[in-house]
Amino acid sequence: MSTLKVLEGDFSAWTCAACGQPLAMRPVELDYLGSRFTVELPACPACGQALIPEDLAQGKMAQVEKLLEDK
Amino acid sequence: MDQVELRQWEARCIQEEPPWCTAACPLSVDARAVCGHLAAGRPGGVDEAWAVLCRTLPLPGILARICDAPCKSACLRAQRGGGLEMGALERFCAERATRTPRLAALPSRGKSAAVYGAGLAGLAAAWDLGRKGLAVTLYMDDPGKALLDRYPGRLPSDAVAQALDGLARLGVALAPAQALDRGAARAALAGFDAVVADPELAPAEALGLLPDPVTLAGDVPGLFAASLPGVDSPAALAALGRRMATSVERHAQAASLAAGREREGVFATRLFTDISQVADLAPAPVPEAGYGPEEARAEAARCLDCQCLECVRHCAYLEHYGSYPKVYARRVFNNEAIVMGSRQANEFINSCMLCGLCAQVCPTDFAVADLCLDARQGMVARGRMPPSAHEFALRDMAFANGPHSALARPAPGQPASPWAFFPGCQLPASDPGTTTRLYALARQALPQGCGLLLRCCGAPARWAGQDATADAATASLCDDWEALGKPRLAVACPSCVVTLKAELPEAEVRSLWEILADAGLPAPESAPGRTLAVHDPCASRHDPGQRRALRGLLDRLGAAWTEPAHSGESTECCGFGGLLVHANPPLGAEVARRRGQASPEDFVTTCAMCRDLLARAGKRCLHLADLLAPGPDPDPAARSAPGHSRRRENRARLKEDLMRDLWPDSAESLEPEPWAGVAVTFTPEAAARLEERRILVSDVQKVLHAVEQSGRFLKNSETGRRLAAHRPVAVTYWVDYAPDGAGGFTVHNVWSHRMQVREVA
Amino acid sequence: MTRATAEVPFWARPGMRTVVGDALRPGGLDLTRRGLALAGVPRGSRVLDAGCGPGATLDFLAGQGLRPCGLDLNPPGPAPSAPGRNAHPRVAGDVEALPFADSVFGAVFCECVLSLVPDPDRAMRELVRVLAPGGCLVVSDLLRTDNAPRMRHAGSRAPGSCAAGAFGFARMLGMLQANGLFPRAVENHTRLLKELAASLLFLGELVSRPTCATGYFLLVAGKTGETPCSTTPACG
Repeated sequence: MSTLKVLEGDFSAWTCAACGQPLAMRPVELDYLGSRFTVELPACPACGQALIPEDLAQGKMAQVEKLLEDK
Repeated sequence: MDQVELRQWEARCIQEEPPWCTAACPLSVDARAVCGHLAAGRPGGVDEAWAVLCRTLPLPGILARICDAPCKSACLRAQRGGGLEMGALERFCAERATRTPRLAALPSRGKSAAVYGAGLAGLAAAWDLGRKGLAVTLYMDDPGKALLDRYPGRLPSDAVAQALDGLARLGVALAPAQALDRGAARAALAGFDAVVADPELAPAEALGLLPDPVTLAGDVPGLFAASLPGVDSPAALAALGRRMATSVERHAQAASLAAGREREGVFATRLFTDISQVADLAPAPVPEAGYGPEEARAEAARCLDCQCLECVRHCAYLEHYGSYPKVYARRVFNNEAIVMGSRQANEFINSCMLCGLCAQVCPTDFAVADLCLDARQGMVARGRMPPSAHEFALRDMAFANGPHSALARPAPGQPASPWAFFPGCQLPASDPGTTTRLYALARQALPQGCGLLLRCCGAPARWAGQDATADAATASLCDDWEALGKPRLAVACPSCVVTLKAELPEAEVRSLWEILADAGLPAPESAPGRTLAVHDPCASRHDPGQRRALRGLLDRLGAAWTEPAHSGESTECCGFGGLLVHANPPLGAEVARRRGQASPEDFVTTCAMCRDLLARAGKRCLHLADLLAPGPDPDPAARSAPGHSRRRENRARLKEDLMRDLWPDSAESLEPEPWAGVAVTFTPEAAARLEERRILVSDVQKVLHAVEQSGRFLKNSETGRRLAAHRPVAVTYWVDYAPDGAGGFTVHNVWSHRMQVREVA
Repeated sequence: MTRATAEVPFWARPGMRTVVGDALRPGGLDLTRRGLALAGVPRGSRVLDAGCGPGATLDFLAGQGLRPCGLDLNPPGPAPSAPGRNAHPRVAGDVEALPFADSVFGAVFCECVLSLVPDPDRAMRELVRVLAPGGCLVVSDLLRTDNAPRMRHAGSRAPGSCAAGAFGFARMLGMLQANGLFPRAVENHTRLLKELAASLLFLGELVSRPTCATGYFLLVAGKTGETPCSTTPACG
């Protein structure tokens, strides 16, 4: 599957404090209960630390978790 | 659950049982539906009502006008003002309908029947058999005239003409009347597959027959006859004709004549309808010319629309899922049985409070709790329980049983005590001060010696279907209990009483409230001036002793009290039962809110969770301990429920304080957790998010501690704030924060997710 | 589509292309690959993709050394990202009345199509008719897991229309049997369906969770009484 674009919005103000680099939109893998999704998220180009915004976590992610839990 | 058990469950729920009118009608007309259409007053309602009659009645244009309505005396409304005037309503439909549904006959299978008729039985038999696709010959002279003569002044001639036209369209051929005796009947069988004798022409006795009452079969295969019914009832006569036609059809198909006919004609329904709150309302007298539209609507509106739905009426959860237990059983069965596909009923299964109210009010004792708890255990066993449903509650239980909260000590100064006070895990979490005072009270009431056992009884794991976890908790509890010398247990929490009696059968378990009631201690001067409403926790539903003790203690205190709506055996759960508040927070909140409305007075109860959840729903609520062992709070009923993190702190603080004050020699000093030193404060919004999202202060501290160790966090140059994440076990917590300049942090927001993030290099 | 988004059928939403590429179904080409592996079709065989859509499967099958032919009600033009797709023959036609002679295909693929067809029994007869002796039918589709009857009305494009036409498994087996087929392999791929739904949720294409009880299966069937396909399969 291709990388899913799940976020709108501007994340240019964010930097990774450990690496000093601004975050860039990159593919990140999300795993839950044996299923894997590749989504595009802001992440540090150097160490890979990703940012999961509140709306995503409490919104779409929570919905997907619930969907996968009812297996 | 297997198919057999499913059928047993389904059979137990009587909601789909026919109402009394249908059961008393020889033709099983759905009078309830007829009234429903007429009472709704919608355009086309009369036609819809007429369509119901046409579906069921043979020759509806005739029968509807002359029906003697045996349903009227069976109607429940007869006990509240007078049975429904169905005869007049049927007549109204026949006269006022604008559309009659088309009749269709089934395709012919080459079978034929001779009906020797004179009246309604023969006509009904011919009608039914024509509809079933048999070639019918009706031996009857001028049936129209026969009807007009038999029921003078009741039938307009065009209605009679239409009925005969209907018969013709069903392929019924008319032939001149013939006398019928035994010989003629048998001879006729040579030319037809079956012969039906109308009892008004030739009753069974005249043919020398004693027919079986169910099949109306005579001694010769294919011959059907009946005796005249005792009353001159058009409905009964038509029903005889119908019964004979059903037998003819089965005979023609070489199928069993008698099988599955228990509910043909008049039968006893198992339906139950509560009419205790129904006011009397008499019918308006039926005018000679019949009802007009407004009168018909008013009469139909007197119909009680008999349903059972007792459990649904009493339970917000059963109401929420939009159906009733018979359907729910199938949903649960389907949920378990699915091999390929997703489960739709997990949330339903996890939302039952397991409180037993439905079984209490159900006429057949249907216990949805048994259905759901069984299903949960199955889901756990097959690895299909959604983790998010109960994880938080199980974490909480583990904390209550952990080194920071659990405690097992004999009374101070005694090597062993005959009693131990078991408050349960929630009272310490809710109110450690009151727990301490209650322990002192218990020691007064049990001067022989009363130790203390702080633990969770394991109920949350049981309710979650996690029997292995529950068994482990019980085993640890049992170890502590044995180490204390197997004391008798004075238990404050009603749920713990139930659970401990089940899980620790060797122990003597007594409700603390019964002990205090018997002990006759002097009452403190703290009785509130106002009247209180007694809230029985659902765990005391079947424990009259505990319920009596609560009321007795209130009397002793001089507190005036009343029973709320739904009390005692019919008490309602606060929403904690079955872990509803965790598995389905919005429904849990609704349940608590509804319970709060059961009385305008402040509640008083013996369960700490009831107290806290009702308080959270905005209801002023006291714990009995607030009255028996009052503290400095002048208005404990207004005390808000502590949040998740505070509950843990309360338990930990209670243990610390008690160890220090009562058992200083055996105080353990626990190593503080590495993250416990992180100083955090929360904005009001962040504090609200913590509660809502079930995130603990300790979870936030763990995140910030991890940041201190790793130096990994994200910075926002616009807001100047920081964002960090950490995953201690199964959940990732995100913290939006800023250093407070004094070595600690101010937290602005928190959120969490279960999905694991793997950075792609 | 000129209708409001809410009425766009599941499989026609723009997000589907993003998630599964041009193979508009759970599992995309991975499941086709799996089906081919289970079927074992000789290289060079003519194979039919009934309901080929934009034709991603045709490319894949050609890449596996087969000679694919696609059929669709309205074969659309090639996707802009894949010029040259016109190279494979594609025929406009109805699965219920295949414009092919009897027994011409070594394998027939019918993926996530039967549940959309108004008369699946007729479609099944046709699919079997064009199957050569020793040939395999590869079917993947939604599976209805409650006992409700199949709801599809001809041409329905109601929301959730895919799942409305899903079969119970007993019905599927009955259709096979009625046409002299028996299942050689059956696999449960409900996870793929859930993952597809989850992906659409992530993209914001699905506003709420799908409500009907559905699963997803892959099935490979052959004609009763025949030996399985050739021993030199072209599977990848």
